[in-house]
Amino acid sequence: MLQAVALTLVNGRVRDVSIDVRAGEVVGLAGLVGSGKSEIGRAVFGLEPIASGSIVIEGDVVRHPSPRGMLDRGVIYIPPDRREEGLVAMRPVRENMSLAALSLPMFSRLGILRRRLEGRTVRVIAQRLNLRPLNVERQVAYFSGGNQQKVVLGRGLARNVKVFIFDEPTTGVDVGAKVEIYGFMKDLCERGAAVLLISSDLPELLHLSNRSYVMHRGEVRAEFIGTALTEEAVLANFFDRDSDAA
Amino acid sequence: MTTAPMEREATGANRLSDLARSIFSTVGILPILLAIVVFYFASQESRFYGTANLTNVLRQSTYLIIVTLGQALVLISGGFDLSVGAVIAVTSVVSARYMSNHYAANPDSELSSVLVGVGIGLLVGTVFGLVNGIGVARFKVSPFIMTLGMASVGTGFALYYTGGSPVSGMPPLFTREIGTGRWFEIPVPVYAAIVAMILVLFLVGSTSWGRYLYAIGGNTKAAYLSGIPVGVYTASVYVMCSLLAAVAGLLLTARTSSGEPNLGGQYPLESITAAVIGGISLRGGEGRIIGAVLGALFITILTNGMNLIRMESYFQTMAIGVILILAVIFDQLRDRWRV
Repeated sequence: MLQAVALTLVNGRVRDVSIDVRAGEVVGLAGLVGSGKSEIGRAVFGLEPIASGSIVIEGDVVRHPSPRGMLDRGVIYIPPDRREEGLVAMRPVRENMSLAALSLPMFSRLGILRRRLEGRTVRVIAQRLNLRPLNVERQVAYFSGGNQQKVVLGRGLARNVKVFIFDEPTTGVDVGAKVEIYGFMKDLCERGAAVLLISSDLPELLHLSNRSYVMHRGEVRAEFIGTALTEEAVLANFFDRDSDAA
Repeated sequence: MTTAPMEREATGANRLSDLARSIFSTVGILPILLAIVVFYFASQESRFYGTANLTNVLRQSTYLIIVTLGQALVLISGGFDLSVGAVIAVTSVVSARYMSNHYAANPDSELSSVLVGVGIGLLVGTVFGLVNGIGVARFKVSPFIMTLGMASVGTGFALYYTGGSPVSGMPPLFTREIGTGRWFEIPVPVYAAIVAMILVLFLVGSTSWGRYLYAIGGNTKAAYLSGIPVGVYTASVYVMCSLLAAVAGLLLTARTSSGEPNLGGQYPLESITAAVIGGISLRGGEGRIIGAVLGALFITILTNGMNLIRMESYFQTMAIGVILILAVIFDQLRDRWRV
């Protein structure tokens, strides 16, 4: 469903990377800081200039990815820093959750908001995510980190999203909310979405992904599937090798 | 991980200050200031609360209300517009010139002359707004510099266009009806202000346009990541602001019965003061339109009161400056006093 083919970024942090994520699976992207794993996710969404290579969504090559274009194609990127890039702090949950979907007929007609429908839809999403307290009129700044993250995730439910790119989805999130978010991700897969999980949290990555790529200095070093996906195997590829095979 | 907040003693003084902080956070200092000002002027000068004066204040406030509405929109989107005064001046002279030329050529059709003038005036506003908008959105010029530069361009142009002297010769329909006329005892400009208010309240509260403005002002990156075409909406808000300033310019032109190149000089400062004191944050993404309207009313009442007690006009200018600084200080405090 999502493919990056020979992707190279202008800033050089990603070089000749090819990955793919299919419907119904969680694909992990592991690696140290600076390995390029986060940049791949951002590049797919149009946030990093691409030097060469292509992004393919459901078989269609996307020439110039942009957040708007990607959202229209059913792809969403959940940023790592929700305060910096994710939430409008002083606005209520309702407005934050519907932000990426306002142009859809469900939320507005000819530019005029359908507030009651919006309220109902957002409340259903908040319930599904177990937002606590379940008050969609409350400003997001007053929620805990875990619940704030749920609001950001909720954006992906307000529209028909088939490809989720999670970039460090549980930073600053308490254990209880983490478990709920993991459950949410698994649920997404079962319903047929493709999930790309970019994470520095190895246990999280190993727990959730069916298949994982390991990045090192901008390139894909390895790919592990199923039982081969172990902590030792992944860690071994985080660092420079002592001697490279000829 | 949240850390437990430090415990404060639940003394009477602490409770009182917490209460005061929560009131200020939600409602701002405007109600208190308004009360102080009204009581003071009412005690100093009995004419203050007479119907003649109140109607006068109402009419006087309309121009600032309309400009402040536009300024509030730009502030909410995270920018600000220092060129509103220049828009008023250019609108005034250009529309007056076209109106009087048309009237001189067609003395029998006052209405068409008025329509020509109004149309030209709105066009001026649109062009100004587009230039500001494109500069800020496309060329990433800071709103401060862009609108400051355009303010200079506009003021210079207005003086150049008229050679420094006012433009006269407008049809009486314009100057009499709109300038000094009343419909059902209420001065005509008040209707314009009410229409403008309803329009802006609707845009902000019930349209995706308004919702996007708050998002762009509150967290531009988040707005961009949500697929909002930030540039387009940013530019559009400057157009809206200039259009509203142009409307105010037309109303003021009717009032003074001439196109004045020096019109509107105090509006940039006063509209920002009015908006900020009404709760619109300079940070962007916050504030309610109704607050901005009340802020504009407050400034007008203050100026009116100061005139009635015959305060020197230079002191009045100082007073407005102090109010602006106070308003911004409270805007910062409100951010810090939040839970």
